[in-house]
Amino acid sequence: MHQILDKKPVDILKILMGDSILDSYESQDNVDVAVIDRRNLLYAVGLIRDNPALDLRYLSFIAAIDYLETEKMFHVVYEFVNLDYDSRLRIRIQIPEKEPWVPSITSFYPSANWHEREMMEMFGIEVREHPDPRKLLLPDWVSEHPLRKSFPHGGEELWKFHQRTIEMFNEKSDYQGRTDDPWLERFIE
Amino acid sequence: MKTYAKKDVSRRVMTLNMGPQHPATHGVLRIELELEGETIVKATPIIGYLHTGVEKHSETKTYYQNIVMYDRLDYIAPAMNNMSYIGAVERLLGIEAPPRAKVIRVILLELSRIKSHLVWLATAAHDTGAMTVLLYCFREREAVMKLYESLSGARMMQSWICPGGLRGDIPDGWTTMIKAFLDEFPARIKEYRALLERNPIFLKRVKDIGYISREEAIAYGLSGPSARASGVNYDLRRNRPYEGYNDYDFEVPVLTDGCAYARYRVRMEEMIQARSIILQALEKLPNGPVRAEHPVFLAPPREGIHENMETLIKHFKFFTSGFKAPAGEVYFATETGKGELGFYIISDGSEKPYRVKIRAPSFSNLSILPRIAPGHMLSDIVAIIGSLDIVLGEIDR
Repeated sequence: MHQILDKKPVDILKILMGDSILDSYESQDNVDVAVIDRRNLLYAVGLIRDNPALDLRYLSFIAAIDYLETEKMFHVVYEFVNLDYDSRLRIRIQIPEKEPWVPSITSFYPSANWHEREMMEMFGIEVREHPDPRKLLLPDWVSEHPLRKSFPHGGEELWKFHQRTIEMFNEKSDYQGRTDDPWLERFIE
Repeated sequence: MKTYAKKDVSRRVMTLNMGPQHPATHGVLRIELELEGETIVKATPIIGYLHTGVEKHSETKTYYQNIVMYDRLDYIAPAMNNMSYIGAVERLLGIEAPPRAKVIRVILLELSRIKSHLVWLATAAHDTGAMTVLLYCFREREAVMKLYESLSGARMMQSWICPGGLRGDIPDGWTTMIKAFLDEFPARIKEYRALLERNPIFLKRVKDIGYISREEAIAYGLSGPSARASGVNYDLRRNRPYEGYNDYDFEVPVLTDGCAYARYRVRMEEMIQARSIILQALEKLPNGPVRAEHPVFLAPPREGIHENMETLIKHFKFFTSGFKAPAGEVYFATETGKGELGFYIISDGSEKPYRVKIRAPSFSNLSILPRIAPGHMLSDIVAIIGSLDIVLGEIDR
């Protein structure tokens, strides 16, 4: 509850954004969730952070969820907090399977940087205009997305994945060709 | 014959890999440092060496089977991880622990906080050249481990907290053991302070090092003592009380200096506050059961399984196939020694969670390193990492 306006953040966001909020509901832990379109995400995040009535300057986490089997969708959840009043707001966006991209909110919240990198590698969701779109937890040569439901979690298929990974490592690792290392070339003219 | 360049060599930027085997990186963290002389120009943390796919495994196990896996995230203080996950599951299922269990949980959590801060103090002081403190801190840590051992038989991964309360009641004489430990603890803290706060080497290495402003701390998602040392007055125990923390009288130390020394002072003060919370908990410890009862969501009592066939079947089925949890989403976070550890659980109404997102405090706390490290000397990065108090188990997950 915001103490200045005596209103919940989701109600303030509804006043500010109107019909752009597709749906809103309360989760089991009594935090309001607003569902918006991803095209309005940057506008909404700008309001959430900079509007003095909301002022939710702390990003707690970003979580992606794979609903490909049932809805042909990814969902991405952002949780924002105002540390002074302890008001929380959760934003949920839906991404169709065929165009899996979201805009990057790292320019608003620097803490989103690593969360978005993790989302990119684990789910294969493209984060547009991310300042540093490298892999975070996985090695560079892994092309699969482990947290998708289609990725195996055991059995023969996972074994095949391991073998494929080892082959890719042997192909792509640069431990053999040290002669063309740009780092060494700096010292020799 | 190759000739070496006659350029000004001192202006060149050198790349140096620190870790993943470096002892000061507290696990398997690699930092790619770009150095100009001995000054850091750029620091890039490279993580993932300990990635075990915990979030993926969570989707293949039942709600009960997951508990023991999360002990291994922050292996310094496993009871905290249990509490975050079990708090989330309890809110999803709509069950509540009895009052006695809640008080014992608070004792376990605050002992974990003391243990976590002791390990931090030992390693951070060791990294900055104060070798003796390590041995002193591990002596007290051993005492806390003994307390855990006498409670559950396990020194570290006890998983004593479970949905609906605790796995069992405390043994006889356990409270006396805790009191004996807490009685001598203030004198021990005085010893650490005498060893560190009058040590000019330690002070020179941590004072005004790794400054984080309040705005930066909030923007980069810092939580816990690292954020409170920068003036962020936020503690989940006070702001979103769980397990009856609002009934305890304790202070949340907040400093505005924002340097490594401020983070040291905040954690030292937190240990004293944790001691005071445990003493209050011991005083108010009520009688009664330590486990709630529920026909579906909670484990049936073990007592009858040797006499009653029905109970045995029920027990077996509960732990192998689990129960159908109600559909929904829940996020629950607790204040651990490192910061805000939260579990975001999506349930689709089946026996296993559909998705578990672990919001690890060290993950966000480490992400500020590329921002604060440039401009410092190479030896300062050891003090900065030490003061942030990271544990790679929960960063890589």
